[in-house]
Amino acid sequence: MVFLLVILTNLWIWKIISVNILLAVLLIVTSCLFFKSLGNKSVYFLLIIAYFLLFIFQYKTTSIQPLSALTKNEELTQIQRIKEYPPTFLQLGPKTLWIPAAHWLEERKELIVLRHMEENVFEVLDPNLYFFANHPRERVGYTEFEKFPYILLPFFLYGLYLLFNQNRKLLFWTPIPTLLLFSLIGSNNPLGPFLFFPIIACSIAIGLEGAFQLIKHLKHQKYFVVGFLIVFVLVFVQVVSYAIH
Amino acid sequence: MQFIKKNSIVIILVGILLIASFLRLYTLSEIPNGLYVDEAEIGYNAYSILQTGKDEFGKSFPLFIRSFNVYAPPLYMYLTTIPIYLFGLSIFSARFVSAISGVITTFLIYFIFKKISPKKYFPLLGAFLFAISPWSIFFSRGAFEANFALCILSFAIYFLVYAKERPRYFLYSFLFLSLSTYCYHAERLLAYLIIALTLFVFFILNRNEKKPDKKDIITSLVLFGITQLPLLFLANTYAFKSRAFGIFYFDAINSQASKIIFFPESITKVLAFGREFLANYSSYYSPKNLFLLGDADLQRSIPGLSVFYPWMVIPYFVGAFMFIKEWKKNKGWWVMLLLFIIAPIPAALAKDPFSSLRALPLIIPMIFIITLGIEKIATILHVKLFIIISIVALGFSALSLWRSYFVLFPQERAVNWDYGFIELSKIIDAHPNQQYLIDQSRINPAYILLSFHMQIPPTKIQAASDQTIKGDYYNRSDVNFDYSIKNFTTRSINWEEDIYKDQILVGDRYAISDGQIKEHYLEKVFEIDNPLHEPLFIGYHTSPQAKCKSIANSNSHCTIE
Repeated sequence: MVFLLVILTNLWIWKIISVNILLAVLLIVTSCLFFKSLGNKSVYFLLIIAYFLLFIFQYKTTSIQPLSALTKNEELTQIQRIKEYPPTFLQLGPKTLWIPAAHWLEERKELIVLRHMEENVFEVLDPNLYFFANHPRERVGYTEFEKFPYILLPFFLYGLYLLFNQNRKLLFWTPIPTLLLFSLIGSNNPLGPFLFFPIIACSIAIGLEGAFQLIKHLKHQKYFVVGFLIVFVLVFVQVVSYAIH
Repeated sequence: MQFIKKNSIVIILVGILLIASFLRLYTLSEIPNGLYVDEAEIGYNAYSILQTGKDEFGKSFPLFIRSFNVYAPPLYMYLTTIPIYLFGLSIFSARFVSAISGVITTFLIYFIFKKISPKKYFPLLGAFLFAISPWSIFFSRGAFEANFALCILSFAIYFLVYAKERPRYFLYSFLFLSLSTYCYHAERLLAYLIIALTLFVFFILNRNEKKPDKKDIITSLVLFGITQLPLLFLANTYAFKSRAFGIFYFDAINSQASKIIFFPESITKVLAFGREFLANYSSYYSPKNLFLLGDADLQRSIPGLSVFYPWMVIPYFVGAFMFIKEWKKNKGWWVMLLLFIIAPIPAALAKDPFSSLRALPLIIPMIFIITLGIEKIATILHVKLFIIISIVALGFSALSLWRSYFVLFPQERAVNWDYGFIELSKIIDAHPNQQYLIDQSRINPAYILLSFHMQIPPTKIQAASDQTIKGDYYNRSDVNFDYSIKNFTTRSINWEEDIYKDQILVGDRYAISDGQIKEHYLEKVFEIDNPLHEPLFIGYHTSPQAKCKSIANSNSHCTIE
């Protein structure tokens, strides 16, 4: 019930449905498998297949920039920065050992690749991307869109914590290949980094369930539930309003 | 050898403090490259107080320092009188209190962490990470009141973590919290939140535990209240409210609320505020902001380096998990949890995205979490592998810091740090008989920067300032940057009159066009470039005779036959 609420009341899945129904179905199925696999190892195989298909979708629909390539702006910055370095050397007795610091730190392909991979990873690790349409630091050249209602952010964090306690291996092994892929291809995708959808949706659902368990013994638990539902509806309308504006 | 073994902790701590001092004091006058207008404001007012007992507007020992049209808590400025007394009015003196605060905070971090973690090397690791963190280094090397406030807050935290065993420490803690409200705006909210939540933790949350003596708490609260009275007396003034209202996102709330359908305005505004606040609040925990982007303000950030090194993201995640998992077992951690939750609140109420300045107190729980993470990783990995990884991470950090802070920052951000005024002041000083008009249209208030660098006697600035300000000092929201001091004037150029006076017009590269140079017979006399060789200030000598001749003396300002 809670899981369905999370799956159906986020704008991300509706955006994906409007663009690619097959992908949306695959995402919902993967999320369900992920949820099931927490207590049932027999679905691991199916989960791996579903993730594999999602990887292909993510790869195929992302606009990929080669990691070693520089944009025009980056090129200009690189040229400028090379000039900024002082002469760097080591004096070893009578010998002077010159160190090409500017070349190493600004021009080496390895470092350029590493910096781009770093940017790509941090881009998808930002909670504001998933809960606030990247507000307050919207990216230039990207169309930011609403994904999950922000009221669910605390439940996501709590769910992540519960998930880690429940099935550490799953939580460890699912994001690592996902992050690796994003580090290589970036997240310039009109549908966003949807590979993270199953894990976020499941974490929220687990967090919500966990929170309900916490208040279960309370005398006025129904007031908390009703209060939460009212705020959820208000926030949902707000997020929809921002999305259609 | 025996001595080293016996005193290993002290020796390592001294080593960490030496590293912290080196990273904060080395080339302090040169990097940041320039002197930012706020630093000049603090330094010059400290100089003015030291010389005359009054600030630049002639107000005796003010409780808020009028800084253009906003007001700043005054403690940093008053303390800066000491280095100015010792070393004279200089960039080093203006930044000295902040730099020393950074070193003292490193020391305090050790003692805070020592109390809340039983492990021998945990506090040393925490102090070391604080000493090398770009967040602390950056704000320690500028005259930032926020960094001094962090030091005072650290004293308060130090006493708070020991208060359970020594209830008298509540008093010291609350007094330091009160003191911190005289240091920086954010602490004016934070101090009250810390006290309220401390009382909540001790008296409501830990109901079954031994409570501190109510007498100690009441005495502490009373003294806190008494020391807050001077501020509270000004609560109704513009000086007290200006900063909070000036940076709050009223416009964003209104525009966002107007987008929400179905609900009345009273609900839409609450919703819009909720989202704005939570989005800002959440951004302070975002790995993207903490480890990659840093502050969006070019004056408050380093090129290519965020507030922490990128590799720290791994211990951040591990540490965050350990923190949540084990905080119930470690009762002393409640202070860190409290700081972790409330530290970004003042910053989240401001419109700037990820303001590393306003959220500076967050550095303490963040360092705690990263230290926890590293400690956990050390227990998982093989010792040799951990040592190798540590050496690589440290080498990478040192290289990143050198590249970003000591090579790129002084050149790329010089323009954001009001570079160029030192040279301009030298030119003006070298020609005492020549009149200079500095175009104020697009630059930071030039009068205070030039007064600082030229060491103009405070009595002259006091005489040149608006004499009505001191009468209603705490309620003046108007601002005036037009000054005439010695041989320079700061205001916008009046093209109807200024070209008929023998003077040098100084402006940035957009102030005077090629057409105006030709039309008014202006002659370029100097150009001051930034380190990237782009012009910052250009000086043009007027030619009243040639101008008047060209228009056959038809202008009333042409007095030369």
